[in-house]
Amino acid sequence: MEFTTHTRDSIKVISLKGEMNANTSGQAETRIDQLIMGGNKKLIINLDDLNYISSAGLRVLLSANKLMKNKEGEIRLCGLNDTVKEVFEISGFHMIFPIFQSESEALSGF
Amino acid sequence: MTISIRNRLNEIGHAHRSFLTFIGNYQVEDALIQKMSIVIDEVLSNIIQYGFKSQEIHTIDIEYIIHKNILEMKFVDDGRPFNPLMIPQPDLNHPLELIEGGGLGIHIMRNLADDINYSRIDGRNYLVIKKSVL
Repeated sequence: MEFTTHTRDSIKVISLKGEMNANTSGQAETRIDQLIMGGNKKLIINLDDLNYISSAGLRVLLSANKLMKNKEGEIRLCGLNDTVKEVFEISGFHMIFPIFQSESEALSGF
Repeated sequence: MTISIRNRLNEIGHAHRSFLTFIGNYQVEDALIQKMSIVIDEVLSNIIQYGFKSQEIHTIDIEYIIHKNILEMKFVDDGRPFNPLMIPQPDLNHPLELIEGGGLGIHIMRNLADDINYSRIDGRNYLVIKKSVL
């Protein structure tokens, strides 16, 4: 899996590309945690190029969300494809994260 | 297609790539390939992480078949007996309990597959997962 980060309207955005599965999720966890521990209290995780996510990936997102909440910050997600959306609904994740269609919508009012 | 992998997480990629090669011979929509890739990940990570008591190398045999528009994926391992169908269905009104309490991967797998069959024969777990590819 690949990651790119950029800053838009002074908010950090990390884009995840490929698959978040049992083998790759550890790399994503390290990178996301670095961004949170680095003092970013607002973080957008852009999933436009994420093919699919398994439970290992969901656990990484959940643990990042907890870490961010401890720092009184917020994580927003955007760009979920239909498969990722379905997995979120099956597992109840759509009730845990604020989810937006696009990066611009996630930035709006953040 | 039949392949074997060792009980190591970094071998899941091999099972996944083989699946993509196999399914590439058929006209199947991307979303279904993504969903079955998730199922493969959940099954194998579960076997690899919880199926064996020691770090010894074991082999997991995998078979992918399409017959009469049904994809069948068979996983065979000699780990401890484990029937994922015996895990109770979670209470979806409490998502955090589901996520933190374990069983999340099995819950996802059960929802994405059409049919799951488990048997234990001669010290081996046989898990057969079916999905219509129409």
